[in-house]
Amino acid sequence: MISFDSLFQRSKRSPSKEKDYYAANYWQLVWKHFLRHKTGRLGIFVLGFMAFCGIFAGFLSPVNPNGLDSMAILAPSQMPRFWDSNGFSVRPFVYAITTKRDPVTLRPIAQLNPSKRIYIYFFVSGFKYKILGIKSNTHFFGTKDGRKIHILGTDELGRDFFSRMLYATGVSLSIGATGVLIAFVLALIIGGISGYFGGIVDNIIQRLTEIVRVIPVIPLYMGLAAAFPKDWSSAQIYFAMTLILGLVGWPTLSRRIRSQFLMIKNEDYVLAARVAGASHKRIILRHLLPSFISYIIIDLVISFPYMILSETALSFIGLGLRPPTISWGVLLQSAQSIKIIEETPRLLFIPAFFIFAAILSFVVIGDALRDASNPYENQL
Amino acid sequence: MYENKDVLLSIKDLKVYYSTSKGIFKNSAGYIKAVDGVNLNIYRGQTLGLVGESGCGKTTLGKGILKLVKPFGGNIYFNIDGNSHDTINLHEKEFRSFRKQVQMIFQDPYASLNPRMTVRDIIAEPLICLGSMKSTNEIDKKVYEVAVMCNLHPEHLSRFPHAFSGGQRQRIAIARALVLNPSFIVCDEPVSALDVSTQANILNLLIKLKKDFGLTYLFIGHDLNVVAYISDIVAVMHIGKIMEIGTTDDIFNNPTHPYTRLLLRSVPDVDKENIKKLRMFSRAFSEKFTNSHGCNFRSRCEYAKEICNKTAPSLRTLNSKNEHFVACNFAEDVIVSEYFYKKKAV
Ligand SMILES: Nc1ncnc2c1ncn2[C@@H]1O[C@H](COP(=O)(O)OP(=O)(O)O)[C@@H](O)[C@H]1O
Ligand code: SF4
Ligand SMILES: [Mg+2]
Repeated sequence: MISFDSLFQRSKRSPSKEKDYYAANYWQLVWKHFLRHKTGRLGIFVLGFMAFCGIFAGFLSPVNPNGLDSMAILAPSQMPRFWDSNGFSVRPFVYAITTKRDPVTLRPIAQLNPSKRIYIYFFVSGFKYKILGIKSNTHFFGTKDGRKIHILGTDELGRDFFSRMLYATGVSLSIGATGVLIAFVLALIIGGISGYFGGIVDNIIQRLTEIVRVIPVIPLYMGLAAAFPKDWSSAQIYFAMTLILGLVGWPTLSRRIRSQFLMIKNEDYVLAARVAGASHKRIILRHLLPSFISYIIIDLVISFPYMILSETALSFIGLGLRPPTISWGVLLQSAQSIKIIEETPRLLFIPAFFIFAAILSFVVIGDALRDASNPYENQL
Repeated sequence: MYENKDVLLSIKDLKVYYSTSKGIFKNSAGYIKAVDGVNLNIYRGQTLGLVGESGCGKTTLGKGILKLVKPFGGNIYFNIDGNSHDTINLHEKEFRSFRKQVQMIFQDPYASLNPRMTVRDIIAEPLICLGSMKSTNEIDKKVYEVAVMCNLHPEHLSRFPHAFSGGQRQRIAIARALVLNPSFIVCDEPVSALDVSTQANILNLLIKLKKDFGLTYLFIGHDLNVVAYISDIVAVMHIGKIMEIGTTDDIFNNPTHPYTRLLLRSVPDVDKENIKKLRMFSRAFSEKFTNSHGCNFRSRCEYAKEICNKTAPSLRTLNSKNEHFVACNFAEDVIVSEYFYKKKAV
């Protein structure tokens, strides 16, 4: 606890700052504490970067992620450069790709051709895309003459891997977010009623929750996913996936919300609110929810990885999202063959690394939030 | 009891049991008899001190009066506006009109103030929920007035509880209890969480406010010195029952119940770590006595005889003034032995 005296002593040093501290509301304090967490800051940065990539995928990708390029199958990465043995250029360029045939197998082999430069221009027009409902065809970078450049190379159908990564990041994060949101709304209503009113209502709801909880998750996923009609559009499947993730995810969250309600509804300050004549609505909205909303947010952040992993796992075994929708799971699924792992391991490792980084970020953010969520106990 | 005086609150045979039932279908019913047949009169303008070990049901009794816990049985009569109202079976909606009259100050000022609300909002809450004032201006004015009365700095109103020490927090809690001009306040160990120098401060504030507003207190405490300082009448509680009740003078200078004497001898110095132990102890006791008759103090009583296992003593008066009541089968023996004890000491 913060003792008044210790605050007072420090206030001699910087009175105005201390005054701010006294009058700082809960979220301001949490934010201050959170920012002291190095790993938490890093997590926010990584996720912010990913979210940015995902949202602006269309703008950032130079090439249509589903466009096939038969002249560049499994092409190596065309890294932008400013100089090479032929000299320096202010404008970044990449080496062009030339395709030869393997003399034995006659398979096309895409190779970089250091003697041919393709210059990169910014804000060029290219394929059409939509960001948050706004249509455009301007791209952050690309070529003037419509030649395709593959920053991270291509996959076995000649699709640009860089663009696919950007799109996949957006889809995977958004599916996780929607799943978490659905689970959260369900959990808040069900767990809230259960915890606040208690008694028989609580008993019945808890038994039902247990029934949902004991259904094994993987067979359930598989059953539900297999039930998707084959003729559903990718948008429909996407929506159904979020729904499944949400429906499977709510019981755990609802349990925790219930226990928060149970715990806090007998806190002295809630009793004091009852003595003050506060209605149920006021108690829930002014006292209960604000007290544990931070814990709920932590829970949400921590359950994010499960959503993303579930989506990835389902898509990986071919039951989740299907092409042409691109997600991390879809990318992993198409990188399953030995040949790809052997010849172009980046098709496997880059999405795997993104998943790893995203999940780790969520975990460290959750951790930092948990530390920060009780700003009254640890002084700044 | 004290029939000539003006009774504000009359508690008749109040029982509050906590269920300890377990099992999926809550089939193995069990109770903790936290308050088990308490009879008390609280007189207008007086302070009733309630003492007893931690876990004996003092807080539960206070909460029962405010309907924060569901009573198992009994009656609570409020004498307000010349009428006597039994509030025990009232729904929350019907009880609202009494809420303005009865308020509570909780034991732990670190737990009883919502850390997410400013001091102004905390003090204003009863006004907003129960008061007749509608405009923010009026509410602000009233909050300001009460805050100043409780020695709070007006500048503090925009701050959050984390800016304050225990004593200041308890002032905020007092201001909140006072803002509706209630006639009765349950003070649940309001100073036991504070350090000694602040304790006197808060106690004197409570005494001053009582004088200024003609308040009536139920003052719960386990520190006998504190209770003696503030109370007009003292009730001694042991595992859900009142053991002895009398004027402060009677209880402290002429203790008649063996338990009261034990309390006075030991002056329990209950620190935080011990509270848990004591709770478990008294819980074990209250469960043990769930289905038993007889005096619940008998296992610790040096005067216990066979009859104490069978017959529960009820409160009875010993002096002609009808002011001192004690629940003991052998109260007379206790007095006599006390007499000899004192003689020996001399
Ligand atoms: N919410 C509750 N549920 C079950 N038992 C409780 C609850 N609150 C208190 N008790 C039990 O009731 C008894 C009386 O508690 P309490 O009124 O808090 O005692 P005191 O205020 O005198 O310390 C104790 O044995 C305690 O363990
Ligand atoms: S009734 Fe019996 S057991 Fe109870 S206090 Fe009196 S003498 Fe002791
Ligand atoms: Mg208590």
